[in-house]
Amino acid sequence: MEKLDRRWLFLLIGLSVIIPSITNLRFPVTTSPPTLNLWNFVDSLKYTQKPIIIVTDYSPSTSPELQPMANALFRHALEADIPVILYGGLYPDGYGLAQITERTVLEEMNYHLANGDSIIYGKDYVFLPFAPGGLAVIVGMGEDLIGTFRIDVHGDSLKFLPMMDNIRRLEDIGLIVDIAGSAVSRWWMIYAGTRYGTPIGVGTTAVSAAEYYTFLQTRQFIGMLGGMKGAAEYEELNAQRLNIEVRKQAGIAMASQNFVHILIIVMVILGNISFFVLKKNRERRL
Amino acid sequence: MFLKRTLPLLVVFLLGLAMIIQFFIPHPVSQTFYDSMAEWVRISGAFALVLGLASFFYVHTRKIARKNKDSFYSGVAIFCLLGMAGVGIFGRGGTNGWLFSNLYRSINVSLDSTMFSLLSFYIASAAFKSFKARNAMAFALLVTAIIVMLGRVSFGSFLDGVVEWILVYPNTAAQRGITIGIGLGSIATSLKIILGIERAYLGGGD
Repeated sequence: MEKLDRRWLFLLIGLSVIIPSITNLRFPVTTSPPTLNLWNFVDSLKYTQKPIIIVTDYSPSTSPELQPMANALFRHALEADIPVILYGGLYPDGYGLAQITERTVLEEMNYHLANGDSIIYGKDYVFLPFAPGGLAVIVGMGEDLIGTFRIDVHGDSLKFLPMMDNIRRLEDIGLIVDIAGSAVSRWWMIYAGTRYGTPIGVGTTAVSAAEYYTFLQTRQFIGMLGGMKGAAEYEELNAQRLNIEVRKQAGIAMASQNFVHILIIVMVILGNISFFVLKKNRERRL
Repeated sequence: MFLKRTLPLLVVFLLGLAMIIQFFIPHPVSQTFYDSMAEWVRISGAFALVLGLASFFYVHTRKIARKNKDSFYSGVAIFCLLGMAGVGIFGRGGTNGWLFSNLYRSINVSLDSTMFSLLSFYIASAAFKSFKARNAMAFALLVTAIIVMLGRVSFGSFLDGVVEWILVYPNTAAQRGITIGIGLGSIATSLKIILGIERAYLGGGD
């Protein structure tokens, strides 16, 4: 085992990813408390009609894990008639990813609601453009949200969009969900959350999820979607509670994740057995 | 010397001090100062993009001029940047147009996520080769990692309670210690910058 060519491992990993995703395997998803808290909080906004800001603060590299979160959140908010501000985040990369979320969900919803209500830009949701400045943009939004951006992605003045009538600064916002694979979510928590009192939720990669538990305990984050599983849980809640029947991107990807995790666990166990057998043999020889 | 070193140090010292004092004074004058500073940072951020572009062109055109062995890739980088910018500025629909969105979606997103996904192969290989229970601490780490990994898959739902406990208690305790350490480190570094002890941002190894 110790001398096993790592290309065999690569082959096994590749097969574990490809086979479950092409065989349409599905597994049950149980919901964790951080996801449930976020879902419930988002859903409660339909009673206050305060808008939710969905921030796609990630780059394409982490999009397979994070894009399903943005889609599920956007879909939930629109289905529940919660006003949404879609924002590409503090780096230029996120704008294109927010655009993908906008198109994916609107296509699904227009199909879904063919004979019912349709989504109207400016009334149901608004899309903010990229603004340079990083941290200063959050502070600017805290003081004067419309003044910070002035226009939306289509070049129209934010002042004239009906959804923005009662929104002046971050304190008028019901929830910000920052979806990021980096530490940017902490900036939103420190400035938008602590300084301006806006509730913050977070969506992050599985690797980063562990470090945010400390802020969940202090309620600085009201909820969290951790990695592919978090996204799959949110999709499942959407399906169960709102009867949203669309393609579950994260649910599909979870099949591959299940097999890869099991494979890695098996390989680690085998690697350890081999390590101890070799160690014992060496000791015997001595 | 004054313009290159003394003036920047003075600006950093005065503004750093002013921002600290401002934080503790809830007065309209202090608030107006804070707002205008926030606006200045956003304006400087826009200029930083220009500076980044200038640096990008400087590095890559030099590589091409010197006929560096990687100069082909520099040419590709410049072509891609100018191409995307051209489509975004002059293309139909601008950055909301079909072509710009699809170039981003089909090329940038696909390439970037493919590069990142290669990590899983190396992580698996590294876990197999080096994640060994050499002592009690390593054994504890190994068992915890296996439980948490199992908890992230559908087959491991029976471990949900244990995984949540690990993440909420031992993990939070360790993370909080690290966070406090980072916070203290940030304060120390900020003070060093404000007082002119840390000058790396001035460049030139000063």
